[in-house]
Amino acid sequence: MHKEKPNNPLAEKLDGMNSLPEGFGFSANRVWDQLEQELQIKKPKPIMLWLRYAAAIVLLASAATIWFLQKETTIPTKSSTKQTITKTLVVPASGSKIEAPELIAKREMPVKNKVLVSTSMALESTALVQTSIPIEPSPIMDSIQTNETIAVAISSPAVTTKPALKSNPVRKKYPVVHLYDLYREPEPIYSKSAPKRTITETDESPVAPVETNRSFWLPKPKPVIITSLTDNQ
Amino acid sequence: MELAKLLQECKEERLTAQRWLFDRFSTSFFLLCRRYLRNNETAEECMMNGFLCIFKALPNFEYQNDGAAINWMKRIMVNECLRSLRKKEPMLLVAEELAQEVPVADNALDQLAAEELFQLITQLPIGYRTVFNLHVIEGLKHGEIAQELGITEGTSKSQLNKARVLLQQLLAAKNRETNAQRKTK
Repeated sequence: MHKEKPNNPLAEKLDGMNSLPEGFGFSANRVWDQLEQELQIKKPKPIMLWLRYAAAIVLLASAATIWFLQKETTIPTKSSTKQTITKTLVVPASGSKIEAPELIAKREMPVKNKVLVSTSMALESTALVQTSIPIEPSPIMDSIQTNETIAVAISSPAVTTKPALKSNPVRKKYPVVHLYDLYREPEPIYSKSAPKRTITETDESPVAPVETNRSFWLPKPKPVIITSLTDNQ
Repeated sequence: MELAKLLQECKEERLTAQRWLFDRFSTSFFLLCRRYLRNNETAEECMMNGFLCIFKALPNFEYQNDGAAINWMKRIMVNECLRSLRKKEPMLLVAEELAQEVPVADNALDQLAAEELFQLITQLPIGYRTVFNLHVIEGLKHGEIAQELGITEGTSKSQLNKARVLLQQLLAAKNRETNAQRKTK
């Protein structure tokens, strides 16, 4: 159809029509108005185009920034960055204090972090950890003590350090003593000539004292029955 | 304005040039559409869509000469008409017949004036006139018409023969009328 048809008189005749025959017509202005509207709708406005481009650029830039920052914070793990700091605490010569066990501060650098921590800093930080806690047995009071106070004295040394290694020979030892032994007077040396001691009413039996300041909501302590030992036994 | 320059400016989407092109070809394109379609409104709508297609396809068009450019635009218009027919008209609902091409003398048609010929064509049924327009006016072969309309070649030939016969009858009737008018005068 793109070819020209020179020997087609009918087509030539019809193509040569420049005026509309009777009964055939159209409104050119109306058609053009519609056509113009369609043409303008199809053309995208340049301002909107620029806005779209700008928005796309901003989005891309922000995405790239976020990605770059995330990449900066993450660092591949290197074996050289790992450091193990071992410090042996020097045990002081004082005999009365129970020294803390040997401390091993093991510090590993974080795997996914670029922040470098110098070794000196690490050592300083471990220096803060080492503590020597004087642990002494609580002094025995003159008055009669309850089992509760004894228990407190035993559990008082709250050491938060690592448990002692096998190599540490220092150990806390308490002698096991009968309660009676704490209050009794030194025994006289018995002799056949000495007069026998008799129990009188004035003798104070070693009974646990009644607590007065104890809070009312706490359960009552079980009474400690201590058998009194006579000299005969 | 030269057609080449006009088309170039239309490529650059200048509204004035587009208006010029519309004014220059709107009448002939309307007549072309009206040959295919049943009424003026449909032809008008089809012409507008055809112009839209032309303006849209212009950036890909390479100008060679005026004749080729006009034929290219006409082809777009014809395609738009066929699209409209496929959409709206019950296309070629005629029994398929294996008809041989009957040689009908077109000399009588050749002697008609353009307006008379145009009016005779528009009196044909849609199926007949579509095939007649495509074959006789546009110069398409029956194979191409069959492909274009989704029919067989036989149907195309049959439709063309019937169109020719009908045109002869219409022409004869018209001649009789004119003769009667002359006698009365």
